[in-house]
Amino acid sequence: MKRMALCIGIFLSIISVSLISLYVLHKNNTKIITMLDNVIESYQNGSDDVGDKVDKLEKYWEDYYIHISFVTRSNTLDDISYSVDKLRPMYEQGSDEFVPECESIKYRVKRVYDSQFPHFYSVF
Amino acid sequence: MLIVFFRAIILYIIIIFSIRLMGKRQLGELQPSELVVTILMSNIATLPIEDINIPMLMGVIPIFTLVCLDVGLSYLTMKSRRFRKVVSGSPKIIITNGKIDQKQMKKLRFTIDDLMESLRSEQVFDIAEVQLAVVETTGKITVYQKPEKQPCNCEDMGITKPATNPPQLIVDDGEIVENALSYLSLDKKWLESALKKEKCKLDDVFLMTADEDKKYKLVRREVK
Repeated sequence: MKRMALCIGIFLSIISVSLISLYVLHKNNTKIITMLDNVIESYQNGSDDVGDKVDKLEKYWEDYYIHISFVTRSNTLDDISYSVDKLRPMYEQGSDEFVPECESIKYRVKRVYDSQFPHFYSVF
Repeated sequence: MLIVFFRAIILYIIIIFSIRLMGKRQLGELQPSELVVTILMSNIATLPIEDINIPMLMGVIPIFTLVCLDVGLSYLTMKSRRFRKVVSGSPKIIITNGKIDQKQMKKLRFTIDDLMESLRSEQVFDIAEVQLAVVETTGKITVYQKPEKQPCNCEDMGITKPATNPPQLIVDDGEIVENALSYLSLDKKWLESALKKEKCKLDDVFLMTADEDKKYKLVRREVK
């Protein structure tokens, strides 16, 4: 009976950890997407604070990377990290690829969440 | 490299814990559900070790999920005979009074070679000697020989012998096995006196066994 109770405890812990990780993933993804939207908006409006916003985004991603790496393949995250690191030089050089790169990061961040969410198609 | 090293250590500990959690049943003959869990566990554990891109949680969570399901399943099979039958199947008789049930053998997909091999492992070389042969849920064949072919025992010969327990290991490589001593209703004082009689120090004992009649066997350590 002790063994059964321990297993029920482990089972509930697994479900809790999974749900919490999904919630954290969703919350942080939304924040990153909002940050990227702000960067794009500022860039398109010719605002001076684009550089600061890119720096903030880089810092936020660095911290988030550590948390998210517990649940997502690191090569997927590394790809996003390369793109985030490219943003600052692209902005400084006035590259035309700046906005598409931001959109690409948004898409990949969304994919990270989608790949963790138990959709019917992803389960089967 | 160090990541793989640390992951291997952590997963090793987790697997040992998981097998202990599944209980002693797992260590003996495997039931179908237990076989599935064992195979899956060994495969899942290697994934995060081989590929450091995979988070370790992706290995740990399925292992614990499978173990919990296995324990849950064994709890249910313990409670319900019908459920047990669905999960583990039921034993099947394949030989009755020396006659092979060929229909049953076909159903179980057992070949003659499988049957003969199993009988030989039970020291039976002639099917005619078998009163009853049962295929257990683990796939093992249990044989009950005809009475005239069974080995003679004390009861058959009318000999009465007092029931005694086999000797217990009381000193293992210089260390006292406390549980065995208390099981035999002996104490350290008795052990010390026995060692004194043998002119042997505890550290010099390789192994020592004793029974309820305080008869002991001592093997000294040859190389220290």
